[in-house]
Amino acid sequence: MSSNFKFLQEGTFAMLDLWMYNFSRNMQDIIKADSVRMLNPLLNSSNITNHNPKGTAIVIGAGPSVTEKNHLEMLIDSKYQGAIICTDKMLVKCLKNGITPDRFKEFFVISIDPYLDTELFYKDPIIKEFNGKINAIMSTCVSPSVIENCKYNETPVYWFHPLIDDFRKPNSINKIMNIMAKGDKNPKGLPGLQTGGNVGTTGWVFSWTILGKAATSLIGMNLGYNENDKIEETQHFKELLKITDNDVEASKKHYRIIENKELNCKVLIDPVFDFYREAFCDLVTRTPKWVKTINSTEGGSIFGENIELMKFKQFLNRFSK
Amino acid sequence: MGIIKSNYKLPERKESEVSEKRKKELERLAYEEKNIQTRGAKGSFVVFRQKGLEDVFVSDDL
Repeated sequence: MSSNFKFLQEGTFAMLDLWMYNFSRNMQDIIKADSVRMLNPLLNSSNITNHNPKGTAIVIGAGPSVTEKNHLEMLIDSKYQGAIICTDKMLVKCLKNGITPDRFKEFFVISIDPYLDTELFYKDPIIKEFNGKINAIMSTCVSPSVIENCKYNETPVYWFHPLIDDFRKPNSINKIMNIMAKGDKNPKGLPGLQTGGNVGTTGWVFSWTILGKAATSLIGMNLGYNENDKIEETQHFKELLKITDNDVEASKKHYRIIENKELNCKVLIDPVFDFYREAFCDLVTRTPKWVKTINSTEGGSIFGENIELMKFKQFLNRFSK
Repeated sequence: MGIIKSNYKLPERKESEVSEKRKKELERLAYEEKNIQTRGAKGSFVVFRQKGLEDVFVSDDL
């Protein structure tokens, strides 16, 4: 386990009050909610290792490669018929580029972040044009304003708990959350899902644990920057300045470059992406044998054991009917 | 008498009207900002890792 992992893991747990703030305000909806399990009632955590899989899914992240490699255009021009799992940040961009539930029948969007600004991803009028056809997969800890926007857009919502602590213990927060979520509709409450710390990884977990998809392709999941990107302009630099008392040089020292030998490129990563990357690469090694993880991002920091790198065009050719 | 600092009366300004919705948003943003300061802006979520549960991706029995 890297020092970055410890550093971030300890820090993020301090967000508990924000998650609970949201959870309590979502309770009225959660108690009468649809569980994500409704999307594939035959699958559960007991039979998941013996699952007989079929179908594929594509998780669409918001990394720079999705634009650089024209992956959305490739997808719309393909004959692909599998599931689309959009990260919330990419929803509107996908819809505006023709990647819609009219074109792809299994269409999902996922949110896990507890911040208010997540609601902005659900504000564009184009979402309402597809009312009832986009399935929103929501953590019980998302901002209630996100749920309000889903209601306005008439988007069906399916819920899960983010796994945050040891639910074997009687005083577990997850356990208490689930006791509160039990109702006539879900007498056992809602399932808890590993999120991997970010919405893209949650999409990958959702693809095989809930939908039971045999293969999941990742695009726009860079979890890193291009080697020559200016550190000062990277996504998390301002956050790092806050914890180094605005010491630019100290902040820069938190970055490192890793070599993606399989793609013959170098990737700049900050502690946040390093943390997500380390978690993802570890999680992939722990999946059941039937799970196939294909990284079609064509860049970025996700590579290693059990991760098949494949150009997106090749994935689309192989898995389109 | 000319206008000097001691006799100049500032024009009264109406308090800007902030809608209830915006008020709630501002309260919420202040709450988030406080929260971010507390945690030191270190990432956005936890990765679930517990000894003995490393291979758990989904649980239906919370």
